[in-house]
Amino acid sequence: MIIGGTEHFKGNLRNWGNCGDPSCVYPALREYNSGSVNPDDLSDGRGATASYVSDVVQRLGGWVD
Amino acid sequence: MILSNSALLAILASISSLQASPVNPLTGRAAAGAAENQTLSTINAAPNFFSGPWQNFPGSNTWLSFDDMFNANRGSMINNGDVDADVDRIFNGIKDAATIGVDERVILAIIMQESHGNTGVQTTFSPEGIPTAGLMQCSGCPGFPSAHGDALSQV
Repeated sequence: MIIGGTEHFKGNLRNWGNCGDPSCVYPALREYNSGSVNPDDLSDGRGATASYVSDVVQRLGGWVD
Repeated sequence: MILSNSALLAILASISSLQASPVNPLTGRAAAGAAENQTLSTINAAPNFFSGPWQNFPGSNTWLSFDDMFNANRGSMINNGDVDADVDRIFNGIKDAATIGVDERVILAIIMQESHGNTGVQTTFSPEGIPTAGLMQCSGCPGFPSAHGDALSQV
């Protein structure tokens, strides 16, 4: 499960510069959730979850639910 | 056409049975089943809502260390149905998967967003009807609905 999901995300990351910092990771997260990205608004959900990137970034910062 | 009351009631009953499946508030996808997804209704909204380009979002200086982040999320994994062995396997699984070139913390964040680390999470379906399964709710990924502990063949 985790290898499969990580491979999927790595594919998304490769589409967005393949780096480890927010400039690559955050657009890749949007692509992971929605399949497409509006770079001017990563909370444009494009049919999926609008808050996905905002939620994940806050989890990175310690938010737990 | 004139319909009897009983015919009208029968039609209304059949329409109401066609209502859409509940939607996973974490991913926006329809839930395939209810049992392992009961936790979805207990999800709280994140404290803030960021939008705009990536620069508008909190930077990596706000990210916890992997150990701190994982420990912070252990309780949630347990609350969402995991046994201790599941949590340990997730820890090791993340360490292993990260070697392909993804930050461990990002993998963990995606896991918590998609399934709360619930190894037995149900398979859900994208708006197009594509099944997404497992801890990271990805299409084509394996899933093991209701599986924990010895019943879980892989993480």
